[in-house]
Amino acid sequence: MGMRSFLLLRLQTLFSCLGRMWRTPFPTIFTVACVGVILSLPAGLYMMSVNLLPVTGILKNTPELTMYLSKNANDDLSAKLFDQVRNLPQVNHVRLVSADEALEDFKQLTGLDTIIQYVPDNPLPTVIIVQPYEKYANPTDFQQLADKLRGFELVDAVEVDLQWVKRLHKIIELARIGFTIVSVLLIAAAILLICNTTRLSIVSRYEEIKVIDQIGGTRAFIRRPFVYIAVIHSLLSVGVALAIIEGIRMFLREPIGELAALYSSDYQLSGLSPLTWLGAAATVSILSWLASRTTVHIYLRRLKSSQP
Amino acid sequence: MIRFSNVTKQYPSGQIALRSVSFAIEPNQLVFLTGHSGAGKSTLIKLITLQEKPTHGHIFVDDRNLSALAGNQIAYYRRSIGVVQQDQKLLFDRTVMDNVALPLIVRNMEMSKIRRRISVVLEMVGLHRKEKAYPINLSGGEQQRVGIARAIIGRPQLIIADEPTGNLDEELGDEIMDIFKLLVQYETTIIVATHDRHHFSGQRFNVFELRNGIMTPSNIV
Repeated sequence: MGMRSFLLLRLQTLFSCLGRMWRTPFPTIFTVACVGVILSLPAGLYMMSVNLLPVTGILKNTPELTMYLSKNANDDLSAKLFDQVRNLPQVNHVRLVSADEALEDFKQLTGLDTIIQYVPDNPLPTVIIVQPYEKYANPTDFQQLADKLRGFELVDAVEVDLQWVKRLHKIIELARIGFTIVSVLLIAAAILLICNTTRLSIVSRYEEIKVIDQIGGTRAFIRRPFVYIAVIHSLLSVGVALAIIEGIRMFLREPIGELAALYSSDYQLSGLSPLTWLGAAATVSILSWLASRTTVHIYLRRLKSSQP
Repeated sequence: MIRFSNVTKQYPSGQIALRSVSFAIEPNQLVFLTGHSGAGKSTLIKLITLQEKPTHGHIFVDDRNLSALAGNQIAYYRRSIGVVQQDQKLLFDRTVMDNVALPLIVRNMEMSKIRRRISVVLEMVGLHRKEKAYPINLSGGEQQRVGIARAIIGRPQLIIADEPTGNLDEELGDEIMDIFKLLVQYETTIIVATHDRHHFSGQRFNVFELRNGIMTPSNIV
């Protein structure tokens, strides 16, 4: 068979499949909608997991390190140390709170100003609050930065809210594992649905298959339309899932923006990239191709007029 | 053309349909296979069309041992034979043209060539004005003609008809038999399985008779 005939036969089958789907729109719409809704769930979960880390950025005051300076650190030395810390590559934001400022804050927060005026010296130290970049906000890098800050002169202590960071990362990790498991199960459900649709299609075209088998149609010839329809269904379903996810994202854009604004953040719910959707379409198509091929193979073996 | 060598067919139920059947059919002949109901005619046809395989013995068609065929070889072999059945096995959601075109579509023939062949074949079986009709709108005789058109469009060397007139009245049955008599002039071997003896009585045809799975000697009526 020449390349032209090879392509022509497949094109003819493809157009015949599209024609068949056009002539029977309801089964097609039902299958595509069902599989599309199922696929939109793992896509939504993946979008949530992609958006989880930026969400933690909203709580940007939390993953911080607090450097308590010694009593010997006067204003000049504190400012010098502040500059040194600010220039560290891991550091995103630094704030210097002098002993006097800390005392003022303490008075305002506690209302103990009348008592504190009888204390001869300011007991509070100068503090440098360090916030690392987001990529260093994991437990290992956080710990390394804390160790580095402890190494500076005039630093009495470095307080790290590492436990919180560890917990957050464990929660995110666990959520991602959960998302992955649920996603795999949902994709499997979608593929099984496509298998079942293929099976029903074979049953409804049983007589036609028997005739084609009897007049010399090869197994590949019989199998091809079922596989093509399964792949077309899966591609359309990915399209439906894309529409659902983008619709939800548009719907949530405003309320999430308002919530982020309450945390002084310009955070926006980001969608999945075109490349991700293409990858999803390719993966689901390949899985549908394999699944429908296997289904057809199993059912053709049951043909009464099968090859002896 | 066709040679059966000590062919026995026993079904899984234990029923023996054919017992050590041996015979040969020369090319380009119209041959009748007759016998009472349950004599083994349909089993013999299923063995030739590879719907069943023999329990013992060998079948040769054009010197090909059918037992040795496997996979796509079976599909390609089936393209070399045309089968006409009592119930035609037409696809009722397709037009006459689509039904008749099927054997050529599985061969990946170009549509323009298929259309040309369809008009010739439908003309031959007297259905040239019915190509866009659906089988449900045709009479029993016309449906049988569609089945014959589908069987001959691939220009097979061998045509096998299993009780092709079984559902038709005598007049329509004779018309169908006339088509087979015409086809044998086109260098085609035709085997017609029928229990209706009037189709061949008084004429010079090879007739093979099966009785309880045993082939009686070939005779010219």
